[in-house]
Amino acid sequence: MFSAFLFCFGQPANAGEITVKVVDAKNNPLRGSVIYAMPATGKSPAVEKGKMAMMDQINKEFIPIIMAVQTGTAVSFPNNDNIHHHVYSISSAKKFELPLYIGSPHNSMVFDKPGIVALGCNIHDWMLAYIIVVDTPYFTVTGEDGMGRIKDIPNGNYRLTAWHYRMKGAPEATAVDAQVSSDGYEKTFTINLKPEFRIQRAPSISGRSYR
Amino acid sequence: MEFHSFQSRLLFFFITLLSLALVATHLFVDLASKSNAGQVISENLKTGARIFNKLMDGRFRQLSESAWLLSGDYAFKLAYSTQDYPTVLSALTNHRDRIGADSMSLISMDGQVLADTLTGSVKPAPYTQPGLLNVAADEGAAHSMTIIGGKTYQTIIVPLLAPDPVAWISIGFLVDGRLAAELKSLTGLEVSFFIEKKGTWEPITSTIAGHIPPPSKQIMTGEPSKDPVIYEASFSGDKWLTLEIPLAHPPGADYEITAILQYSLSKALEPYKRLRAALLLIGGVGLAVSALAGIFLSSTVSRPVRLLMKQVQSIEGGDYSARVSVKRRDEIGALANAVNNMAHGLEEKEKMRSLLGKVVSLAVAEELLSKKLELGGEEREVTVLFSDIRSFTTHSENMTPNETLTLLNIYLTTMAAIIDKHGGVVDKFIGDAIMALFGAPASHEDDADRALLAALEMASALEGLNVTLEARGMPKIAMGIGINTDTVVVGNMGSQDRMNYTAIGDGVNVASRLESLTKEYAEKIIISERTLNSTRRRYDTGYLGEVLVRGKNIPVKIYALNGLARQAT
Repeated sequence: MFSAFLFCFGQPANAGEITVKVVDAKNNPLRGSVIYAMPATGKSPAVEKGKMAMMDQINKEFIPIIMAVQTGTAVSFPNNDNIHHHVYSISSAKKFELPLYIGSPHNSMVFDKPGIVALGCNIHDWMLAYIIVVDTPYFTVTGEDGMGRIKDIPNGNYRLTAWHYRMKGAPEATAVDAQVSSDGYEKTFTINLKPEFRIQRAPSISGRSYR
Repeated sequence: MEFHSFQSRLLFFFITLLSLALVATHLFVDLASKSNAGQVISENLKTGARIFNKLMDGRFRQLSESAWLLSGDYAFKLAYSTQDYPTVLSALTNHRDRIGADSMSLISMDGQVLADTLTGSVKPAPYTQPGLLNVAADEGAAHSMTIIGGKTYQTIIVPLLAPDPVAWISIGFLVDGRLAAELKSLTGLEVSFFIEKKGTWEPITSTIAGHIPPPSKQIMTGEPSKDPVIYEASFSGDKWLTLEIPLAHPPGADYEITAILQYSLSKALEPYKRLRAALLLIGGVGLAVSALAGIFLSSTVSRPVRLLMKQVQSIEGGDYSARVSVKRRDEIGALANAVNNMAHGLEEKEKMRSLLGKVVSLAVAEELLSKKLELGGEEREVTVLFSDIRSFTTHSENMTPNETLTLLNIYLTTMAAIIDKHGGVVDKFIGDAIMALFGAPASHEDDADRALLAALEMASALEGLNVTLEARGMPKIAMGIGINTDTVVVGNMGSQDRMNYTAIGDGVNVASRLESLTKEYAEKIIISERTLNSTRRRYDTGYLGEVLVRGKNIPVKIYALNGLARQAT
């Protein structure tokens, strides 16, 4: 309550905050879950001009692994390793490939369609990241504690949706209508997970490890 | 060779003993080899089952590797991302050929086949094994036996990772004779695959030609990898130890697939058959060798025994000259020596006997040889015969001594033979005189008769002899015979070193006296009353009177013997 009180100070009078917690079926906090709120009116503020996001590649991993952006955001893919990467996506929301490169590609990529974009590297099978492109600026990604906050969200009605890359079924199934006021809005999402199957980075040179 | 002969019995014993040992060995080896073969096959089957499972797993893994290669193939991902399924199909076909698979298809995450190399279709159709897709969704990948278009496949389902799963790739490898043959070459077992549909088993493929009985379901319980059930099946004129391995099938499938591993019992027993043949050969050779050894060994015993037997038989037949030559140090050698010594002894004795027979009468010789030779005599009633050539001295004066000897010899030989013939014994020749005994050493009931008959024959023989002598230009001779019967002393008389068997007593003197009386009475044969009384037959006699014999107080009645009594009319 104390923290809520503090937040109240820094906010405009007509805005509130959505606080969510995402847990799995066993009530374990779920990290890397994307929560986004679509205005019930269907009209979202346009993306800020020149809004940029960055999907790093460090030590042959994508950083961050989960990234949410508003539709129309330009994303750059700087390669911080001293070897080539070959980033690609065949997801329908954004099909692209950045053939073997070192350092930063000259142009960033604008993600202009909402959807889930799975990113891979053609040379490193285990490299996997998701960019969730949503038609709203009101989103957050849960942290280690499964908590996420959408700050400074104008009061009003929203459709609040949670997504997780391992969730069973469509995200819409978990969506709730949320009435945001200056008092804020709190919600706990419980997401059923499916088994995760992905190529793990091999600890040794030989053998593929999967899962 | 007779069965009862020593040699055949020894041989029989040898061979029976060896045969018993051989038969026992054979039975034991047979029993042991059969149970051992069963055990070995069982072990082989279990090992084969383990290898089979490993091979199938390995094959799945290997097939998975190929599948995973496609799963991570960037070009294929790009082809997939075009959503142009004819392109996807040709990419699948390309990959299928690259890894040598038999079928390959792409299935959407919601279970629609988007492209399939088996049908060549790119029209979406529901996947026939949704259960397998569920397994893949839960496990990340799946493998199983599947039936597609009536054929059996080893199927692997892996996700197409881009880099998260976007679709399923299904790869199938045909279960056919090639696979069975390969599995057979690696496990050393006969391999058959069977499929059960609606309660009916159908063979898929087998390394055994001809009909094979389908799996018996009741033994298909339990984990195949644990301790599989092994049973014996009979078909194709052979017995097969059989082990069944149920193979994975997709959940919810309306069929089951089972692999049958089998091993021929006759094939397993082949080395034992060779062993048995070798045993038989060894047994046969052993029998032959021991038979030969038996023959040899027994002949070393039986041959000298046969020789000894022959010798003993010839000794029995009167031939003492043969000697058996057995140079051995054992009991048989000793026996042979003893037999030789015995033959030698018998030969010596026989020589003695025949020599004695020439010197003395055969009967005396027998008597001498049969008893211990010692001085002394016994009282016996004996009929004593004396014969003499009348006035032989006058005769001999006209002849050379040689002629005299020849004449004597002819005469004495003839007379002695007659005496001998009638059972008398020539006691001695005294010049031309003969003293013969009837009743000693061997006595007969009719000794007196024998003496009379001998005397009569001697008399008639003399007539024949005279004809011969006349023909030779020799003088005729006359002969007198005196016969008396009395109790006299007979026995060996003389010294310890040289003795004579003879009779002594008045009775002998009387006989001699009667012989000398023949001249006076001009009779050929004179016998005493006692002799006449001792006879059993009747004779033609003539009473001559009583004479006093020197040294005898009582006169003796004497008779002339003319011949046998004429037959009473």
